Amino acid sequence: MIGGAVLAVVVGAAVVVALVLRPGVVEGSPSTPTASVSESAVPAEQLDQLTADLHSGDPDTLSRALALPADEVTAEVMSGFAGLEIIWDTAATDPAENVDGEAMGWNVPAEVTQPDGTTSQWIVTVIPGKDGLIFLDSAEVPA
Amino acid sequence: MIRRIVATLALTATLLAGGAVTPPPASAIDSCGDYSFDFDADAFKGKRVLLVLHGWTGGSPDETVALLQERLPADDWIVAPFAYESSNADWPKPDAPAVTCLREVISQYGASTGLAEPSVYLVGHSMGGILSRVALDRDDRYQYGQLVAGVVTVDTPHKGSPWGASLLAELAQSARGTSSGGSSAADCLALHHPGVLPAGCAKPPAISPDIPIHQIAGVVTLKRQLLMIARDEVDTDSDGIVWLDSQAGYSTSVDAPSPERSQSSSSVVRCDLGYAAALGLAGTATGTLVKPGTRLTRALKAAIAANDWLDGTVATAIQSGTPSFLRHDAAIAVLFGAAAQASCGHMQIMTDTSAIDMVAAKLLEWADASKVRSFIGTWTGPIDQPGSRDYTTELTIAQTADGSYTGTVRYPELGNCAGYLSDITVSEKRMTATENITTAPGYCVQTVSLELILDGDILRYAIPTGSGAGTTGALSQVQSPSEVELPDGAQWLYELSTGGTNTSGEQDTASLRTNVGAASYANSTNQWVSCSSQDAQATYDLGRTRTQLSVGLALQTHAPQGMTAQFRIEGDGATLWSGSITRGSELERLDLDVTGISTLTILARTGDTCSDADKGYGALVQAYTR
Repeated sequence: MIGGAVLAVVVGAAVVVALVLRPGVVEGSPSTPTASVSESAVPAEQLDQLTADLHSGDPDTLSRALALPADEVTAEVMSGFAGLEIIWDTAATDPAENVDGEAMGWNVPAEVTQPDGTTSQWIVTVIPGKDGLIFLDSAEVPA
Repeated sequence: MIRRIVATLALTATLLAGGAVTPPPASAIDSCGDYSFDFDADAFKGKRVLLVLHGWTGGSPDETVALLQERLPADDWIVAPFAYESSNADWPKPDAPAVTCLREVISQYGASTGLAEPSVYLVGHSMGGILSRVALDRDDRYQYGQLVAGVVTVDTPHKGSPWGASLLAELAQSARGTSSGGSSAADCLALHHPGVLPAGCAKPPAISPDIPIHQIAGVVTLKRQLLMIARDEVDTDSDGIVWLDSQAGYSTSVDAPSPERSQSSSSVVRCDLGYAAALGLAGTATGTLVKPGTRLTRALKAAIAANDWLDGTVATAIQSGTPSFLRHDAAIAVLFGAAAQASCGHMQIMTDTSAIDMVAAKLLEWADASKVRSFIGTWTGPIDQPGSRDYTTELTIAQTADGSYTGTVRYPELGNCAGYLSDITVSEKRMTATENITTAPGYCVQTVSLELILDGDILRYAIPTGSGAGTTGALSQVQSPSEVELPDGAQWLYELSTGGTNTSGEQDTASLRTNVGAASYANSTNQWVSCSSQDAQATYDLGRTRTQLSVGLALQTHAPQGMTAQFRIEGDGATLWSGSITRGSELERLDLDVTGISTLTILARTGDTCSDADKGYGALVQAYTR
């Protein structure tokens, strides 16, 4: 069995090996994001734009907002978001960090109301993309 | 960057120091060297033993042992770790210390159970499954089919892992593994079938075909939740370390000839790793690779990671099954993250509730099957004989201490004719025997050949040839009432040295007629009943060392119906108890004070009509002294 200690060794070793064998190489050119996650607060205007994109019902717009290939933006995805009311609690936003503690986006609490009136609480992870924020993942907050 | 590496190494050193292995105490099993396998043989009596084996670079799997013991009835199972920390970096080969030791432990533990059927089970995590295979090699001189009842492998790389024979594996093994000088497991865990292992790495063999093997595989899915819509983004097809086709690859991991009569099966435990967590892991490695000295913000590093991820580069590399260490660092980071963080990942699965439940369920299934396989006990049911009226039979089969079988038979509706079985042969689920009617022979054919076949919970009865040919029946086993447990320091009565005027004092499985049907009791003592004016006597040497005799007195089912016998129990000639026992009367236990008594005598006789029998009509049911 490999323990947690070994994971640390292996991840560390992966870093070392990669640096030794492939110094300074990153495939492709990084896209410049439109927001910096070094900011402690999620950019409100971009969050509003993301909300509008999710409600748009337009496959191309949803493809960008969800970072999904266009052919995976199904009718379920389009109708699913179109009917939701999303209220963001930007004041309670936390940075989303990778395992090294580096910021990679924001965890934004949201209250989501479905067409039948059912309300639920979620933490939504958004990250910066070149054309605005991307809805990456979410987790429902137990009632 | 340097600060990050230093911090990582410091963390590693801290974790390793915390996980230092304490040398185990001296072993009670010679070939195990410094492994500790002290055990109390008495505690193993009558129980099944489960050995839990850790994997490569691992330590004693105590948490898994505890979880499995919770799920297996303690009065039927003992769960013990098999830890081999001092050679956990050695590839299991036939002469490896861990293999030799495991065989010895199996032998000693198995012998200590005293059970007739195989009673040792192995659960091997990761390389522990390979170790099990080598120890139970079908070509080996050891006959473990007699001792081992089943092997469960969990996340075992039956066909290797892409991490084997890599620099990462070598580094990890250097950090945590311990070698006793054998072949490096880090090398030998390489992929094979297809492919060959590095020199010095023996391929794991097939196990004895008598032993079933079940493979449990962990598979992590990277899951994305788009509010109410859940999406499985990437099926890693692995536990992060070992891919599914290797975890469930036992039967295809053996060179020709493939395992004959192989009893292999597999099941999969699935779990999720959140998409955001996976992205965080991918970003760790990818962000690190940004050219040293480049003034990039952390945000941009994360964005690069995200872009790599969302472009599908990472997912494609993961699903390839062979991500490149030099090209797919983000994929590797995600996989190791899955192994360490997902509940069914390689490092977590041995404490995963679903996986542990699966292991326990398989063990209980095997144990139940082995019980069902046993002929031992009392069976009863209707017999269909062409041209004859309906009747039933009662068949009791027992096994003596030397492993041979004995049996009695009775037909209540046929004048209560009864007798015994001889010439018994057993081959797995089929028993053949000669039925000899000794009581009321006028009602039954005196000698017939029987064939008895275990079919699930049913014992199929048939007279295939000769007189009565074509007769068939389906018998059900009569459940025994709760049995007496031997108290600490006590001895079964049949274990004491005996004497007397009639042969007695032999171990018996007493078969009794009760008010709820027939019942059988192991660990009873045979008691002859005299059919003359002279009592049958059996004496037991208590040597003035005993204080209590606990016994149930009864007449067995092969005694004539309605028979009554007079029993008397004496201590050094003085009567301790006397009374009459009638066949079929309710069984009651006596507890008698035998303090200071040298010789215990049991006397029995009947005034009723007797017939020949191959053992006494009476039984001292589960009699013991202490």
